[in-house]
Amino acid sequence: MTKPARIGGLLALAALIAAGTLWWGSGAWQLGDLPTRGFLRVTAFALGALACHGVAAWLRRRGR
Amino acid sequence: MSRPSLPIRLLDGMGLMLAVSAVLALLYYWDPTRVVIKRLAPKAATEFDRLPEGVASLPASERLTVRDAADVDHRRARLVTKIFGVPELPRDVMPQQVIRDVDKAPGAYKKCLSPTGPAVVHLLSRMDTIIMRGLACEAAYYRGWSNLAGIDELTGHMVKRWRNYAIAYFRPQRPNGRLILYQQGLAATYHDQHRVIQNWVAAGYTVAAMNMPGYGDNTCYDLDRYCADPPMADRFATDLAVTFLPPVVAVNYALAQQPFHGIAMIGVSSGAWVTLVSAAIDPRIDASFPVAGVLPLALLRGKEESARSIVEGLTEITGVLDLSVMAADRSGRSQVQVFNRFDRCCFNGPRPSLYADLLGKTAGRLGGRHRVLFDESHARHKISRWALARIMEVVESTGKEAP
Repeated sequence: MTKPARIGGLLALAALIAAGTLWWGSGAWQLGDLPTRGFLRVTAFALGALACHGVAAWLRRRGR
Repeated sequence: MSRPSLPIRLLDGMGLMLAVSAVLALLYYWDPTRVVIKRLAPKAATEFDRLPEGVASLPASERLTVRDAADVDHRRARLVTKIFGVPELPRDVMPQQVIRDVDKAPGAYKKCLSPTGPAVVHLLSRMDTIIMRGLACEAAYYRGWSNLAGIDELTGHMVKRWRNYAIAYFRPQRPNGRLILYQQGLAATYHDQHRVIQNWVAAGYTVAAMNMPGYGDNTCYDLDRYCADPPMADRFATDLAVTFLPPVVAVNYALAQQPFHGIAMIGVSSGAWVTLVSAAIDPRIDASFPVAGVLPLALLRGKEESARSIVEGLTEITGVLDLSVMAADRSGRSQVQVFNRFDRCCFNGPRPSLYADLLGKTAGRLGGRHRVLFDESHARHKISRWALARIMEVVESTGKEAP
């Protein structure tokens, strides 16, 4: 795994877990400490990041 | 080790960018970090920490003029006359229609404009449908709430084929003898506060939730449901009555159902202005909480100016500061005004600090209590958990002996 992939994967996972915890912990709603809209944005970015790194890792394995 | 191919490097680079975006989005949306971002922004000190230029003291036009209980009674009678056409609060006016248990049997209603329940409505709906959310469409989503006995819909037709009011009356199974009137502001409905109302009901509070005129059920969009009855008396067919009658009707109806040992009113944004006036004219409201809303008219700026229309015709009789004191004019009555210091919308900054002490001292002389709080826990236009905790401390300590 390359360095950018490791950093990106870790950041995305950390953001995803933090967002989920904060959103759920403040009531899981739009007027909570982390609004639903924010939670969904973070989730979309993080899942996008993990998908990119996942596809890159798959291509790398296939090329070996 | 061989260098990865271009597509792999591109994908890893894009992944890293998206991961950084996820972290930035989290910092942007989470209330505590958003406050830090607001504080670090250029002009933050000017906007949130300092008084606006040219405002070193309270303008003469906004001075407190209410001095004693007789003054309060006199102003109250003039305000009530201006709003309702007679000097006595209409304590006998009841809803024209009461639909019991709309959560279980909503009755006939026109097509719902907002497609879904409370959790996702903001994400799927356009603004023009968000602000039209009706109780008949939403009530089923509240059916499973803890301690909820039922939701009643209280309605009245005020102006022919044009204006009505609709109040959602949440009855708890095990009531704690306290009533909360909740007044939503503009560009939203009380359905947006479903978590807050849910917690109140679970704790035993009876809740009467209201929207601003023209929002939610407060339109004749559903002509057959809300505007089929003959309109109420002509004296209620004014903008002022349309705005300020529903809280009076809510209290009238609630007291006809059971005695309460405490009545509180909480309003956010434009709802704060309705709360300010309602608490000033109706001494049955023991504690009132205008949140993110009220300022003396001379201190309004930008989009805050739209609030003038809510109190048009009233501030000539009694200024905003007088209205504040009138809500805390005797022992057992109190008002707490909450301001979001970093509010990204409006009513932010330190302007209320100009008169906070004065309001506290004047209300204290009359026997009541008045406080101004600055909420620094977020940068949004809302009631925060911090503010709600402060509000509920006062609500729980206010009122008469248990009925």
